[in-house]
Amino acid sequence: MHWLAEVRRRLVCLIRRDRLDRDLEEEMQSHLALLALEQQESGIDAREARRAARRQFGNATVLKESGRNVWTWQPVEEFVQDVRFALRAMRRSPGFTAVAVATLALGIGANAAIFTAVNAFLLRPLPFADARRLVFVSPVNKAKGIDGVTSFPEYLELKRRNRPFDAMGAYGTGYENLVGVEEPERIMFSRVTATLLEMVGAKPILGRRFLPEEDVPGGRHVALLSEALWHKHFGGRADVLGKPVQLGSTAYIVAGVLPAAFSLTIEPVDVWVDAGAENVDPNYSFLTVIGRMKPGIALQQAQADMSALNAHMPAAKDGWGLVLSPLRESYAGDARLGLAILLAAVAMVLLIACANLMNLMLYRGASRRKEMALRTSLGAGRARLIRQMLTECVVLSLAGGSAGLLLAHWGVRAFSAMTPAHLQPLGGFHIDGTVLGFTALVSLLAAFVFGMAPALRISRLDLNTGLKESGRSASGGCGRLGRWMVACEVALALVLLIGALLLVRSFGRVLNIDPGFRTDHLLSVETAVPDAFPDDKCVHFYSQLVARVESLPGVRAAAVVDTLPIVGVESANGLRLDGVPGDNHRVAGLRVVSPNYFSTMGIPIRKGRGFTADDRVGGPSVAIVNETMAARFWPGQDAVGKVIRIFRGGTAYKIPSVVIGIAANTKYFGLEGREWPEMFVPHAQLAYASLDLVVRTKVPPAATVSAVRRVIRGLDPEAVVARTRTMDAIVSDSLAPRRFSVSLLAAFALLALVLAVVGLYGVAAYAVAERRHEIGIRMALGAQRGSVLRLVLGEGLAATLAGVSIGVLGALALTKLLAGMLFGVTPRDPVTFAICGLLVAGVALAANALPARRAARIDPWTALRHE
Amino acid sequence: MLLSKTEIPPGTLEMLILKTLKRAGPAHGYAIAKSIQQASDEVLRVEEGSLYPALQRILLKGLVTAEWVQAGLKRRNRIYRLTAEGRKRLDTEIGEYRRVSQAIERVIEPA
Repeated sequence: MHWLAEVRRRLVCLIRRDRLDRDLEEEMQSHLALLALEQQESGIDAREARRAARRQFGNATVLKESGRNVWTWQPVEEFVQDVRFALRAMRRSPGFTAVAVATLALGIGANAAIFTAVNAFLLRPLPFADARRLVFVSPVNKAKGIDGVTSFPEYLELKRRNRPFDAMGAYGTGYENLVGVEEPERIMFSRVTATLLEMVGAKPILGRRFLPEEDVPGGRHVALLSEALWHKHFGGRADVLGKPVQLGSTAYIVAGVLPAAFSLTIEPVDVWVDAGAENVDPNYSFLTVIGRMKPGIALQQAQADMSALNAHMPAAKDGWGLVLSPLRESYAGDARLGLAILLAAVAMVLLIACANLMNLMLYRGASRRKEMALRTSLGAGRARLIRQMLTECVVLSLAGGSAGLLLAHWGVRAFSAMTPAHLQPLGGFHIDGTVLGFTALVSLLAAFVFGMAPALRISRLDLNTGLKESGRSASGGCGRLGRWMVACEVALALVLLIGALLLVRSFGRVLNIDPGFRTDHLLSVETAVPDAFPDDKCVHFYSQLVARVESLPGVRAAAVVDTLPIVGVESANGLRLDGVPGDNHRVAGLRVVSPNYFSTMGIPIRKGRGFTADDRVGGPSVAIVNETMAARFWPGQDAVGKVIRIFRGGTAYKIPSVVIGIAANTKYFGLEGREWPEMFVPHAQLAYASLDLVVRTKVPPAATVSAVRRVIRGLDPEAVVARTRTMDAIVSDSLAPRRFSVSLLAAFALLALVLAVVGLYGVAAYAVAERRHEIGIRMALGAQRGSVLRLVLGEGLAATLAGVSIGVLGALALTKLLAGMLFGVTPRDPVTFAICGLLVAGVALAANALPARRAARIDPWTALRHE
Repeated sequence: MLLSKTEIPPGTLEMLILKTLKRAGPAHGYAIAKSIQQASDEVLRVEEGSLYPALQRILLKGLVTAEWVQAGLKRRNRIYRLTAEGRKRLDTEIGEYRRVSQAIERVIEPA
């Protein structure tokens, strides 16, 4: 309590410092006067009395200081003083300050930018309530190829049997036509259980969530709108509640609006409908299940529980397992390795920058010896000097850090714009409190890293030599430290370069992957016809569309398919294999195509035949499978001629289809994706209402878009046209993450090299400048220019070689960490190592050569004269 | 014999100042020093160098208050006054001091 009052008094005094000083001064003056009076009374004259009084009084300055020191916090005072000195020193040498702040801004800014991404993907809590307890519950069956999605009855079964969870919910997304509004469009919708919305804490901004009693088979069809859709189609009015919204052929009643900030998936969902009221088909697997673990249960335990439960279920015999994975990983898992590598890279760049600054400060230190000597002689201890210089470093570092934050802000905005929507983290990239804290921490650490050694060295001085005029620094040790620093910089830069080049080469290899079809001059137009169209009208529309588009000028061929390659949307269609004993249920990707799909796309048919116009309704049901499916489902046999029963809505597995051909594999999940069994069915025999029109053009694909649109509109004004993209753009998008990390890493590696080379040059130039005298003597004594060159180069060469060797060894050890991201290149690829090693060595030698040449051209006379 | 200045430990000095203020009422720095000197029969001489820091310290701790009082045409004095807190503290300090000195006495008593 007293302590608090004391602190308050101190603070008040800090503010009214002047008054304190004046009071003390006046008080002491009057004390002096009284003392003088006392002296006078004993008979001494006035002036003598005053002198005696002052002698008795003692050192007024010291008195005042000790009086003042009672009130102030010594450490705070000193710190404020140090900061003022630091700012003054910065102003006095603007060149150094500019270089230092710029270097730090680059290094710290890069760290802040990458950390923003790390924070967004990996650290920031997911925007759900109790996010850490949420896990994905995925049924897996490797044999059937199912990984992750369940049907509604399966979900209910899971929910019933769950033990480690206190809540469970599920969701599944898809596309549907939004009709009954002014501008019908194709939207992304999500079926979601009422329990899931409750679990993640979704708070509607209007209306309510789903009620449990609605979320059962036969329940009411209720929908929640997204904020964006609400504004776009319903004017953001509150009277939307209770109104119907029509998706395809089903009408839903609007029960509420969810805020824009709410999302379960990275791509924004426009409408949520309750999952249970329909689509309870056990053969339709589309739901992703999320469970909330009971508080206090660890993931392993929950996993063990679920596996044990699963073992008791009959399906376990068929190879079904349950895998639990934390929500966070699923949203960010892929990015983890790339981000870790980038973070390591920017840390190395910052280390190099700090090493450069350390060297710079060591050299500057020579010119500050006089100042330090003066301070010491006035009473500053070594600790005080060190503290002062560290404060200067911290001020520099914080200034650099602030500038760096600005750079990071622009950088983050740039790469946020460059990242395609489906790769963004949930919640976007933001510089928030965590990033600011990290930046401050990094700035402080950097200050210590580059400031400690110079501070220690400069404060250790011999007063005598320091104060004398000719402050020529011997600094042989200084030079050695500088050269070791530079060797380390070269090593770090080399490691980064090797990593970057490995990734660049991997990227090149990936670009060369054969996607299984021809990607050039290919336009994709997403279309849909109203759900109300009967099958034959649908088929007629699309065959007409293909014919008319093919007749357009500039078009070579056209076809339709329900899902493009590369794009890779997870979906699994059930089928049964005829003539296979035991469990003949399988899962594969279903593609509904027009007859000329394979020829349009340039996909070769390996065996059997492709589809023709004869494969239509009324004719025998046919199918074509891809090589993976043929090899997996009928190992060792010829797939042509086999019969499969594909699950079709309405007829289940009734219809047998004969496999008439085997098509070559196409890459489905991106260029690097895994193989996936696919089966193709002619559109005429399975009338899907929404298909992708693919157009092989002779001219640039974008030029044909308007013509195609006109054809579609002309055929049927109710048809919907959604996205149009070129295949080149799709492939490019799929490569975006790899391209992004490669470009960043390459940029950082080059930055590191530039910094290292600048450091090298600086050390070499300084060494030459220092030794001018010595070189002058040598030359005056007869040394040839060549030998001087060799002398200077020799030292630089030693540092470079040391750096390159350490770098190569380090890279050999570290690049295996990159293995997850490499493609077609080994982590210890000798070509890459050789290229980078030679590049760095060459550049480093050049950096040494310039000062060396200047050294060789020193005129002995001038060198000897300028001490 | 050289009359060397007897050093008063700073804690004890604060106690003496407080006691002086209690006994003689509010006073300024010079008067306090003189008072201590006289009360101790010239044995204890308060150095100005220790007086002022001590005064600042008890001011900081809130044991006294200080205010300027006009004394004559051109001069003013800073008068220190004991607070209630100071009074309490004084009693504590004196008690403590007596306890310690008695203990010391016991130790150095001739056996």
